[in-house]
Amino acid sequence: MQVASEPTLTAPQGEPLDVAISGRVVSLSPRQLFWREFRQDWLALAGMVFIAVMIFLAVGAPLASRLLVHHGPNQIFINQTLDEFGLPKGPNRAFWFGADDAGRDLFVRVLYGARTSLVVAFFATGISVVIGVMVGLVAGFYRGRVDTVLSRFTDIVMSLPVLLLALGLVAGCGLSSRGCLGGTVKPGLLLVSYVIGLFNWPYISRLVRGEVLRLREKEFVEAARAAGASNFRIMSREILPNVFAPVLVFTTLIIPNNILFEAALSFLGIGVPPTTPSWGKMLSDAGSIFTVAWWMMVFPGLFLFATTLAFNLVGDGLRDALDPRARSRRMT
Amino acid sequence: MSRYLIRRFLFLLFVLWVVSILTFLIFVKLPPGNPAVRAAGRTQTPETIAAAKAALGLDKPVWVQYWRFAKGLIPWPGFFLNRQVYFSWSNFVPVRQQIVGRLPVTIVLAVGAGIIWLLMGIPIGVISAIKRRTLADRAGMLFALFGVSAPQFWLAYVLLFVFWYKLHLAPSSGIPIGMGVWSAVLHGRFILPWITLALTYSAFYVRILRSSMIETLDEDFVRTARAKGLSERRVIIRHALRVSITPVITLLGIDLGYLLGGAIIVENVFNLQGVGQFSIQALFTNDFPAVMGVTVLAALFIIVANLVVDVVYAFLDPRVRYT
Amino acid sequence: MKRHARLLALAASIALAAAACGGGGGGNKSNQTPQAGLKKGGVLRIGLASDVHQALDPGREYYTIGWEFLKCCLARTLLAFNFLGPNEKGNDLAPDLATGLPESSSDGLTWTFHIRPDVHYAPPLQNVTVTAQDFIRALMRVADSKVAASYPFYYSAIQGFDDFSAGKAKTISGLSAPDPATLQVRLANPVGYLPYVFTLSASSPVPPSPSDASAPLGVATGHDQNYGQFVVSSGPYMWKGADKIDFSKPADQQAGPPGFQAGKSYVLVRNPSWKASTDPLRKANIDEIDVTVGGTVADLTKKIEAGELDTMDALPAPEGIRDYATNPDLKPFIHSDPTFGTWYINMNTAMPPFDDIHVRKAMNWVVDKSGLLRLVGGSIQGPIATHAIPDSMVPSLKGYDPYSTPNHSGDAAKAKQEMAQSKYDTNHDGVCDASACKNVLMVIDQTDPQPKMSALIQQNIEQIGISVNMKQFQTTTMYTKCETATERVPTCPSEGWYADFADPYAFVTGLFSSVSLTPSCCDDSLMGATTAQLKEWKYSNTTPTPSIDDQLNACVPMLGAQREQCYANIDKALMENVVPWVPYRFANQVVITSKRVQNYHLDASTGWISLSQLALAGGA
Repeated sequence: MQVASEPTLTAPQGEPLDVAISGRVVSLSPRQLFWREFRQDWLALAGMVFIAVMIFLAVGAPLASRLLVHHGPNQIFINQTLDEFGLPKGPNRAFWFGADDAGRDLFVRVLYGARTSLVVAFFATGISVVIGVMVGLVAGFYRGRVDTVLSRFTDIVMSLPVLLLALGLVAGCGLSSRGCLGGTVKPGLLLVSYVIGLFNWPYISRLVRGEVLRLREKEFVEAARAAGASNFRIMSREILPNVFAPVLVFTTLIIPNNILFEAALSFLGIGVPPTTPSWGKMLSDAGSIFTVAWWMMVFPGLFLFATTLAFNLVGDGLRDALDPRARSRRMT
Repeated sequence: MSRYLIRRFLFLLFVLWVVSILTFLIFVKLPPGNPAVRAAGRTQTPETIAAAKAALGLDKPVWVQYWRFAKGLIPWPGFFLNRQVYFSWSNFVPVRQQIVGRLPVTIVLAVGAGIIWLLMGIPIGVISAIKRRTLADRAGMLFALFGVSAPQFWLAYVLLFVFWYKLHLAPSSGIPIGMGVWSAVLHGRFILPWITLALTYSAFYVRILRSSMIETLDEDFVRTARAKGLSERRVIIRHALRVSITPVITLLGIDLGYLLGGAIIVENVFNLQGVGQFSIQALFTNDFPAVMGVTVLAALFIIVANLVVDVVYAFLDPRVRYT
Repeated sequence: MKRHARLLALAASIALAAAACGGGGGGNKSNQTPQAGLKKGGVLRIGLASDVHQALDPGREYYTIGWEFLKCCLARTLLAFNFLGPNEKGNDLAPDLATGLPESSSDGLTWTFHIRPDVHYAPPLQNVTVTAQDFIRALMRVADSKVAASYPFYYSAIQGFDDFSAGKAKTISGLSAPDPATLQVRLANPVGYLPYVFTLSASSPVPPSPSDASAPLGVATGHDQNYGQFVVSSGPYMWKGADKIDFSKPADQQAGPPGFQAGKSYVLVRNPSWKASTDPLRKANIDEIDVTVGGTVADLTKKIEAGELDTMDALPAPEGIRDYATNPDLKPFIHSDPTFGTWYINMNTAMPPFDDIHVRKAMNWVVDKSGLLRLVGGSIQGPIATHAIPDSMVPSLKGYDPYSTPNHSGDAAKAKQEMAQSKYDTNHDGVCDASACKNVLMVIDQTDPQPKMSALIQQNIEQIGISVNMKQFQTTTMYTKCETATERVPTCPSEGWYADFADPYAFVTGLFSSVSLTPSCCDDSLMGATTAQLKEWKYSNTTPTPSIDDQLNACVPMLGAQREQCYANIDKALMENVVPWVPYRFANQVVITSKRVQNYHLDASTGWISLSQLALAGGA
């Protein structure tokens, strides 16, 4: 990033920058600058730590549940956990978070739920990022007619009633066990991820296009072009690395959205397969029974909430730390 | 300006056309199974299925089928959601009549929630911007993030449980028979749904207003105003806020456009009989004419909202020009 | 829970036909306030978790709730029942619009109904009286293929009915009205069940069109699918605002009544033309019935507990059951009555690994039936099923339990013994090791509590080495898949079956006879399928499946104790020689009401609350 050369680094009210005074402006790499800012943001750091812990728990869910409670996520304990009316018992020594209404260990399911939610979130976000970056890059780089067509296409996707179409797609492809489109799209976790990913890329594409339009006029691109680099090489080697930062910021902000989107689909009865634990589905199951089993609402809800909050905090922190304009303003 | 509007209008029609094709593909062509089998009733023979197929136009080539449905989306009297095609397969009433009957609830829900989230979002955004990096800023952002991080249906359930079932401070879900939309508003039947929506939306407004306000406070005219000796409150409200509110208006327009197509989750949890609840009912009963109508209507709201936002922009911000 | 009642859709083979899902013998509750204390008046508020299915069209509606609204309130029929429970003669025929039971000629081919005089329709046709021609119109509507009515097969014994249906005749030759008060029905062949088909709402009278007296379908002309909202009531209630319908306009210009908001709400008000003196069966204590559509079962339950609603269509969820069962104030307002229904795990006898009887028997040993019962809310939902036909239909089967396990919780050891004899258990250790047992497709209902129950079944059968690939669908989609042989679904654990009326014939024929194989309904286990059929449906194993057709046919003409014994033997053959099911629960109808509701009766003829008998505390 061409941070040091940005004119906006001049602070308002005519005060000189502290970096300028200390004369370290050229010696600080962007990464160092970033860290200097980011590590001051304790909320973002806390979010980062929490996400790391969640990823660790999600990966280690089988191990953790085996070592800690010896229960599987789909193991049912009718007699230990349900009363005569089929209502579950609350948290106790054997079942730390209580049981759900099918007599399964809620603690273990919350751990496994982290896997589902994170897999869907990362996979769906990955799809959005790949499509969004490609479309934005091509549109911004070639400009003209290509840009017009791609931008109008982006506009169209942005005008779609996303939830309705997503429901239609998931329901349509989930209607048959053989899937749809000749069996290429099968119902289940991946289908949900595809659908979420396919509707979320326009925002990234717009962002990337704007950045590329700005970057392609820069000297280093001119230099590469003068040196005879191909368009593909310029796009992939010169421009792409420079849109990394804003895309990263945006990505951390849409991951929580995607987690919630999966939860919403599960709530409407069209989400992940029946026995797969997912926070969204656990919450929607709890919807009918939480008046007598608060733990079914509280624990998955808390984890879902904390995870989305953590991603949001990290995203905010990243944006503040990476956006030079924001940084310049900190000092006032 | 008028040339711009014409271009935007043509694009609007183009988008509607694309949406209609997508809707047709996703809801009619994608799902396996034969809708005629469903329409043929409980006791069916090959003949009754064939009759149902003919009645629904499913025996025609795909493009004829598409045209039948697409014709009803042309915003023109006699065409738009005509009852020959847009006739519910499960309720057996014209789809237009059903949507029109449900729109008031959705409009009241969306607009009311919009007012509340502006009332929450603007003060928090302004305070966060002028008291940057203070405790107030952090607290405001955290409050806003709370809303954006919680699943809508979860908030809805919890609010309903606490404020109706436990504390009896708010009325229960739904609108009783015989109570009109306005009297439902007066009876507080929209309060919990409004708050649920507002909590989940206001965070975006806080974020946007905060950064836009920070930007504006740095601009020359604000400094000039300050230099003139105007009170800080006057500077912020009369000068800075007026300029920095434009992106908020944009977002509001687009969000309302989305919500008018149906606040699916909130309407379902609170049993508000609006367009969103209707779309889910229609989807789950494979009531294709209803699904098609409601989906394209939702897209229409979004597109029109975008258009309105662009035009409003021109009045609010003279720097924007249309070519 | 959503509706789960399935109706017999069998054409010619029905012996007699009563209702959607009947009530059972031996009611175990009683909270009936004495008649004398009942007041008239008040508004009954009902919440429906799921909408009615065919927009309450009398010719098309086929689910419990819709039947009750029609039978109670809108559509009187020539014959009916007393709208009381199964122990209160609720299954006995009684004259309604007829003056008495029909007279039949000695050869059983001609039946004559005399119509009650001076019964007026609801406004705007308050000056029109019910005549014989109105019933002929109703049956022509049933026969009309454009209407796609639900029950034409019940009437096809009437002379000329099928010809009219096929468009070969302008009228139904077997129906005639010698005078306005007499309806004569001539049959092509004698059927003993004829009186029963005149209790179906589909046969309720359709008045002539005021603008065109010769229109064959009368006021229903042009309302092929939506007659439900335009129905001119003969019962004690009518849609609010129905008196403003202008039947002189063409059908598509008529505005429906404001009381009928499809998918949103339905409001029934008193029909001013109805007189108690001409209707001995309905009490009609309530002034108005308000029905709202939508809301979750939990939400509806809370509203009923709080008195904001009076009852709902759904079975209460476990927390609702506990609230009512443990709170002495509420306890009198939960009602549980046996029905003629069984819930079971279906196994496709042509699909590996269930094409091996040892696997099917092992399934019966291993499933935890008491766990499944607990997951639906406990014993109030009905007794554990140890065999197929409900005890209430064949009392001598009570106690018969060929797969008896301690506490009905399943016995893995016995199951493994059985599995060890299977060809799919190659090393005979009691755990299936063939690839046929891996990833077996299991199609389930996505409606709560079915997914939980399927999860338990999944865990149970993993003990004998069967692993499943579970797919969940909406209730109706699930049934369609499981009923269609070409879908080749090995097992469906979310199935329930309710007999149409109180005879075991109605229970077994639709399920286990080869005449009920695809494309009709509902021999989901494919019993009696031939090699040719299996080949056509693309099954890999084309060995003919076990059949009990001969036994089934042998029972049909029997009577009394002999008949009961015959069906008891069929059940035993099913459970021991064929084993198409793992039955796990005989269903009860469980209803909760608000504290205002008095004089609760189960309507045996529909299987839901008898709306025509209810009263509200305090009345108006």
